[in-house]
Amino acid sequence: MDAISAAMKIAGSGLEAQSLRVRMVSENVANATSLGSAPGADPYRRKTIVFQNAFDRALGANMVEVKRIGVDPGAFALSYDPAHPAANADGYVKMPNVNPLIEMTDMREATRSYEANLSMIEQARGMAMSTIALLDN
Amino acid sequence: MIDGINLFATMGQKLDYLGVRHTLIAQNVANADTPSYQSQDLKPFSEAMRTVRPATMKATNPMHMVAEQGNTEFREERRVEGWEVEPSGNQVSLEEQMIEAADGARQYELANNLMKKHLSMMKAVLSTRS
Repeated sequence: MDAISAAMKIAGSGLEAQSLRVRMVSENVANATSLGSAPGADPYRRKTIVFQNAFDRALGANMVEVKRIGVDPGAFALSYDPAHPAANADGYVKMPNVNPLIEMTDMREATRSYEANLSMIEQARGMAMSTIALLDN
Repeated sequence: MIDGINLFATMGQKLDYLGVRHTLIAQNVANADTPSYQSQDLKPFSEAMRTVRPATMKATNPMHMVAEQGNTEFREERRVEGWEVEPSGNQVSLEEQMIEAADGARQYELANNLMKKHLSMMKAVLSTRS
């Protein structure tokens, strides 16, 4: 495979990985107040995503792929709400360990990486087009 | 036939080199958030061309598997010093890679335009009309 289309495929794998990362962020934000339903039950646990590089034999280059989707082992905050079904004996409810500030920062970083991959594809296409334009005259 | 003309051969190699380099930059950008990933790059074009072709394994039977490590015509820069190293051990700085990619695309454009100009010069010589 020629280098230019290989570059496009690699950048494509980057786009896929970063969009999955944004999906994880949106899952976390959407579940920022998902609580348990039984007394003392655990609420939603924040999900994390780890990337790794994987050598692609056909391309002869390192693509990126998702290594695993894990969970944040961080502690849950307690909020006093004795009327809630998930409240424990003392009247406290465990809140999800999602920090909106961290999620927003993560989302901005993912967007930035996504745009970088996109501009690699645009540049590769521009290079291919300028070579094809040699046929014009 | 036109390979015999020095400029076309050199420009062809230059375009090939820039293409491979673009692949490596795309690889760095795609792995910009991969823990402990090291940036890769090629040596500058003037010292990138191999004078001795790298040794490859001969496949004497179609069932043999030969390790295909992509385009190995160019020398790889083994010690790339990036701008920064992230706490995760990742060495890729997106800003740096963007500059490298833009620079590569500019050189590619230059080589293409030189090729085009040279072609039109040859056409002028070959044309029978005066």
